[in-house]
Amino acid sequence: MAYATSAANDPNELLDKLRLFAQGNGWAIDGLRDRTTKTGRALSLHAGPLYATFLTELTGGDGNRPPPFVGAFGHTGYVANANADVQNEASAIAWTNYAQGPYSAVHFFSQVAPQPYLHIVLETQAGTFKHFGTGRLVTAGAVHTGQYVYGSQWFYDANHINSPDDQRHAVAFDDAWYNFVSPVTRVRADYDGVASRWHSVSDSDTDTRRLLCGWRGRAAPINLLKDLGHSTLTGRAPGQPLWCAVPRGAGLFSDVGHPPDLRFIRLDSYAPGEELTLGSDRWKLFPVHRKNGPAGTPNSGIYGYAYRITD
Amino acid sequence: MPWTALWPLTFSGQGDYFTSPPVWDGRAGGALGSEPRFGARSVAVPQHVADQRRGALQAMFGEDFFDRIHVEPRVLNLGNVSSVQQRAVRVWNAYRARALTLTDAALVAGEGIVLTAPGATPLPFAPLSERTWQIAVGTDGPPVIAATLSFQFAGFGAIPVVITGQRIVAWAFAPDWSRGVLERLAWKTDILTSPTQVEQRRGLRSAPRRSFEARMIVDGRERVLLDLAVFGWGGRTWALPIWPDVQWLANEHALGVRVIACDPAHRDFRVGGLVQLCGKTAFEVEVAEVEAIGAISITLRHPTTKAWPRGTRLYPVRTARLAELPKVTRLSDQAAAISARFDIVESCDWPTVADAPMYRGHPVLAQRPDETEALSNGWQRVLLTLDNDFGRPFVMDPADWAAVSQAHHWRMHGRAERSAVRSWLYTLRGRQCAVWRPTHADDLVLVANVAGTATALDVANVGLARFAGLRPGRRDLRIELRNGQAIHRRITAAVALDDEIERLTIDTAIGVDIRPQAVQRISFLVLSRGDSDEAEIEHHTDSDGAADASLVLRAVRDPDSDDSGPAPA
Repeated sequence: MAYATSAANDPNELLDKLRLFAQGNGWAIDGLRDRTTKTGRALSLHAGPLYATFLTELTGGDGNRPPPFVGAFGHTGYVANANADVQNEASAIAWTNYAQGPYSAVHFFSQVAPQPYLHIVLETQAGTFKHFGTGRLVTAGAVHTGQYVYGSQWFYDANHINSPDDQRHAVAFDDAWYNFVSPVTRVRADYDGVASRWHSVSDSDTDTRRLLCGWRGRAAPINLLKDLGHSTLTGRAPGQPLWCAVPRGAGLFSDVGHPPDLRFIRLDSYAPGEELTLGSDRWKLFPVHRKNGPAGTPNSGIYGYAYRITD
Repeated sequence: MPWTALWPLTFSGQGDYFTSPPVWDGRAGGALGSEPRFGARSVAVPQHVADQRRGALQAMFGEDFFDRIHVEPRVLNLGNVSSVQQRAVRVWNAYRARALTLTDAALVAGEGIVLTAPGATPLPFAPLSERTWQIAVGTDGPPVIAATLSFQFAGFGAIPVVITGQRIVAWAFAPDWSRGVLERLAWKTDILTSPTQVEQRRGLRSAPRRSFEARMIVDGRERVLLDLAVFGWGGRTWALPIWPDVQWLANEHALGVRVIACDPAHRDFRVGGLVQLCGKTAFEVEVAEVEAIGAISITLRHPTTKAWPRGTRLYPVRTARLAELPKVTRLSDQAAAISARFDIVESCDWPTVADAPMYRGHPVLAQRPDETEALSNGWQRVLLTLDNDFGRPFVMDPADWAAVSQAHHWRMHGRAERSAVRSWLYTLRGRQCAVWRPTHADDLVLVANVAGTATALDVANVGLARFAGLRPGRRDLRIELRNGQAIHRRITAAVALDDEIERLTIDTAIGVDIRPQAVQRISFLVLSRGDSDEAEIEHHTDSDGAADASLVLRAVRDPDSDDSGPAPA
C-alpha cells in the first residue's frame, strides 16, 4: 500500500498518521518527540540511508505566513539528541504554512525502492491543497545523494493571494521565488568531489548553492512546458518531470535529476483529486494550492502536481 | 573598426563566462560511502555514434506514457441499456521497441454481450500497434450487467475492462387521455413544533418521490404484448415515457441520425437521460440517450437504429417501476383497459422559482389562485385542555395565535405555466419551505390619500387594532395598485381613530403617492408552508393543454426579527 488517504484534526495528529503510514510502508521510525525549541513535534524516520525529520510548529509566523507550520529537513544518520532539530549534515527546514486542521483529507504517497520518498498532500479545506515531503531524486549525471525536502508556502497577502505566478509564493520544486517567505525546496547534490551540498531555490544569480527547477521562472527547466495545455484530441495533459539543476561554476548548470513519481501537470481538464490513468499507471492530480477560484481566495491557477500511485 | 568595438554586441557584458570559479567551502559528506546505488551514472554510447558526448538520459512525459500497455476505456458504464449498445475497446502496445503477444481476451459473465475480436489469440502486437475490440450489448439478458473483459499479455498481469449497466425495457403503451394522467410528487418533512407553534422543519428527501398513474387501452397484438411484458419483466425497471411532455416530430428522421429536431423547452429532458421515440403501435419504439440539449433540437449519444417519420411521438423518459401490478379490465377478447401506477426510480430535480418577488427573505406567491372552484379557508389553533371530568375544563391557548390556512389552486395552460407551477412546488418542498402567500382578498380599504413619504395609512376600520394585535399572519400587507405595481410592507402599529377609520403605521414609506382610487387591493400577507408533503398534478391533456394542481397552505410563525436572511423556519 503505497498510497493511503486519511484524515487528521491538527498537524500533530497528522505526524502521527504519517508515522503509521510510513511504518507500514517500509520506513524505519527513529523517533516521534516533542520539540524543545518550539511548540511542536518532530518525527524522524529513514529508509535505507535516506534520513529525514518532519516537524510541526504551531505558533509563530505572521498574517501573510500564518501558522501552524509543517516542515521537513533531510540529514544523515540519526542523533537521539534532546533537541530534535539537531541532526548531522542537516538541511534547513522546508516549511509548509497555514496547515490548519481539521483537514478535509490527507493523501500519503510512499515508496522505498529504488528511490525512497514520502509525499504528503494535505487538503486543508475542500479544494485547497498543501504539499510537502522528502525523498531521493532519480539522479542524473555526476551527482551523488540527491535527497530533497519540499514544502509549500503561500503568501497570504490580499494583493497576491490569487496570482499564481507571483514570486512571493514559494512553491515546491519551483524556483520563481523572492524571499518574502523561506524557500521550500532543498536538494542535496554532491558532485565533483564536493560534498554536503544542500541547494535551495535562491533569488541571487551568484548563489553557488542555487537550485534551478520548476516552471514559473523564465530560467526554470520546464518553463516553456507550463504553457503546454491538454491535448485537444483527448483532453489529457502531459505530466512533466520536475527537473532540478545546480550551478557548476562559470555560469554553467548541470541537471541533477527529478523527484520520482511526481510531475508538474496543467489541470485545465482535470478536477482536484481526479485520477489519470496512463496504461496501468494511476496518477492523482492536485492543484499547487487551489484550482482557479473566485477573487480574494488563494488561487494557483491551473498549475498542479501529479503523484503516481505505485501499488 | 577595431574588433574590440564589436565587443558589446557579441557578449552580454555580464561576464558570466569569465568569473573565476567560486571557491567551494564544502567538506566531505559522511553519507557518500554508504550510498553507492545513488552515485554517478554513465550512459554507454554505441561506438558507431560519431559524436561521443557523455550525458544522462533525461526523463520526459514519454517515460510515463510509452513502454506500457494502454487499454481504453477501462470501465464501460453503459447506463440504462434499452437498445443494442455498441462500444469499442482499444488496446495499444505502447512499447517503442518490444513486440507483445496477447494470449487471451476473455469475457466473464458476458451473457447477452457479443464480443468481436480483431483476431484469434495468441495475437501478436507489433511495437506501437493498436487493435480494437467491438463490444455489443443487447437488450436480452440479465437485468444487471456486470461483465469483465480481461486482456492477458504474456509476461503481464491481466488487464480487466469492467462493463456495467442495467437492462431496461421501454413502456410503449400510450395513456387513455379521456381520464388524464395523474402525477404525484411526495416530499417528506420532519416537523418539530413548540407549544407556541414555532416550528423546526427538516426536509428528509433531497428530491421528491414522483409517480404517475394512468389508464391505457390496448387491443390486438398490443394487448398480448402488454400481457407478456408485464408477465415476464413486471419486476424490472421500465423506461417510462413522461406522457404529458409528448411532442410530435415535425420532420422526417432517417435511420442513424443523432440530432432530433424538437422543442425541448419546459420538458423533462436532461443531459444523460433517456428519450423515447414511439411510432403508431407499441412495437415501434426506440429509447435513446441524450448527449446535449439545444434550443430546437436534442442530440443523442448514439445514432438511432430506425427511421422515424413525421408524426412520431417523442417523449422524455424516466426510469420507473410498477408500483403495483396493473389491474386489467377485460373489455372484449381483443381489447383490455389497464390501470398502471409507476414510481420513478431516479431522482427528479426541477429548478425552484427564480423570478418571484422577495419579501423578508422568502418569495411571494403573487399569482392569484384559480377560483373556478371554491377555495376553503380556515384557522388552526392549538388549545390545551385540562379536563378532570367533574369540574369545569381548563383551557389554555399557549401560542395565543391561530395558523390560518387557505387552499391555493392552479390551473395551468401550456408548458410554461406548468413549469412555473412545478417550480413553486419544488420551492415549497412539501411542508418544508415557507413562502409569503397573500390572502388575495380585499382585506383593507384605503380611505385617504397617502404621501410617498408617509409611513401611516388610514384604512376602513375592520378591527385590526382590536383583534389582530400585530401577530404573525395579520401584520404584513401586500398593496396592489391598478398600474400593476405591488408593495409589501409590515405594519408596526395600528390604532382605531374612530368606528370608521383605523390608522396603520408601516415600517418604511411606500415611496409613491397613492390615492384610494389607485389601489386595486390590499391583502394580508401570510408566511405559509404547504400543509401536506404530497402534491398532485392532474394532467388533463399533454403539456400543451390544461392541468390542475391544488394545495393547502398553512401559516407559520415568522420570526419577529427584521433580518432579510433565511428565516429559522
